Amino acid sequence: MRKEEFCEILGEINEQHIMEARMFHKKFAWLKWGAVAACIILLITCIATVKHVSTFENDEISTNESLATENNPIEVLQNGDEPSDKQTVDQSDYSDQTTNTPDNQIISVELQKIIDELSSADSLGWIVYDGKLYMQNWNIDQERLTEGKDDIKLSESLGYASDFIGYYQNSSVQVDGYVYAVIDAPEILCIKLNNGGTVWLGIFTYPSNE
Amino acid sequence: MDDAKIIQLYWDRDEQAISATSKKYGSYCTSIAKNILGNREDAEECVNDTYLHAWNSMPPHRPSILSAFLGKITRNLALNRNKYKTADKRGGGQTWIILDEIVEFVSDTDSAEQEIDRKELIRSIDDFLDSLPSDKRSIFVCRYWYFDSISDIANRCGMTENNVSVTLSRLRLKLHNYLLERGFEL
Repeated sequence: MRKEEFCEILGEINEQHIMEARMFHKKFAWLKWGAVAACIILLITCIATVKHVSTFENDEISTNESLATENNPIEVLQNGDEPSDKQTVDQSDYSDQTTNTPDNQIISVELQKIIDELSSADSLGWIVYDGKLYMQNWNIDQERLTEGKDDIKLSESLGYASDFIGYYQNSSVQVDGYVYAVIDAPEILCIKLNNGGTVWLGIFTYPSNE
Repeated sequence: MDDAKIIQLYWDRDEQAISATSKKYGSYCTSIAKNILGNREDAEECVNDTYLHAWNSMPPHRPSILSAFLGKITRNLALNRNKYKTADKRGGGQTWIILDEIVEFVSDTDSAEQEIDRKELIRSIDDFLDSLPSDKRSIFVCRYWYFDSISDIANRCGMTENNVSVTLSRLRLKLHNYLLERGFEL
């Protein structure tokens, strides 16, 4: 067969192949630029993600620090009281229950030591602030109650959150959060819970300085 | 303008069909003709002949893909024109180089004893092309249908010229073996 004849025969191939070959160029060009665009988008996404994570971590730190440094008031709510803070979104029952802490998983050694020293506590109330649940608990050790602290009334501010003590996690009820000391009220712990769900009441106490 | 409308203009014997075709597919046809003929003047004459052939072909034809239909006319006209113009001397763009490549899988003689079933051969070539990945298929069609230069293909596909040449060489060998296996002794 003559090459010219074969060349003519090649001219009769499927029209789809003919079209595809020209579209292929365009497609390839799009792929080329698409790949460049995809890389740029991926890069931007990565940078944004890293920044976001960084900001989130900074926010967590600053939130913790702000609790410690800005002296956020701790409002005590009695059963049935309306929270005064506009950001308060929910409230739980005032609880009298007393509980031991066998299932606690305390990350902070310091907090573990505190918990080890005390065996029981009473929840005074809680507030929800900025999407976080803050617990206030009262050590019901009778001796301490009689040491001049029984004049604390519910619905009154008991003090201000101060130093970050440690990270609290209770795997049995899937609750975790940050524990803070309260200025001028060593008997009280402020718990900032990351989980707005079930709260195990009455386990957080703070020893007196005695 | 939509292809269906252009085709309908041909069928209605409306001369606007020519200007609409020229506007939409003029450069496409010119690029094919220029690849084969090697100069713009000849290519433009060839493209004008294409419009005339299209005018005479529609009706009765109603092509499903107008661009391919016009491209085929251009390609055939350009190859014929090239045949006469270069009967005594080499020239005409990529044509001779590509025809020399085609020699690799045809005998290039008139002594082929058997009468080759042309339609069967076209079907086998189509089957071969169907079996290829789309990128390789497109490279093959660009070279042997559109008569694109190696550098053009390389630029468009983002490959090196050497890479394109090697790919084409392998495809030629592959097609040769494919056709031999199916009893085509070309």
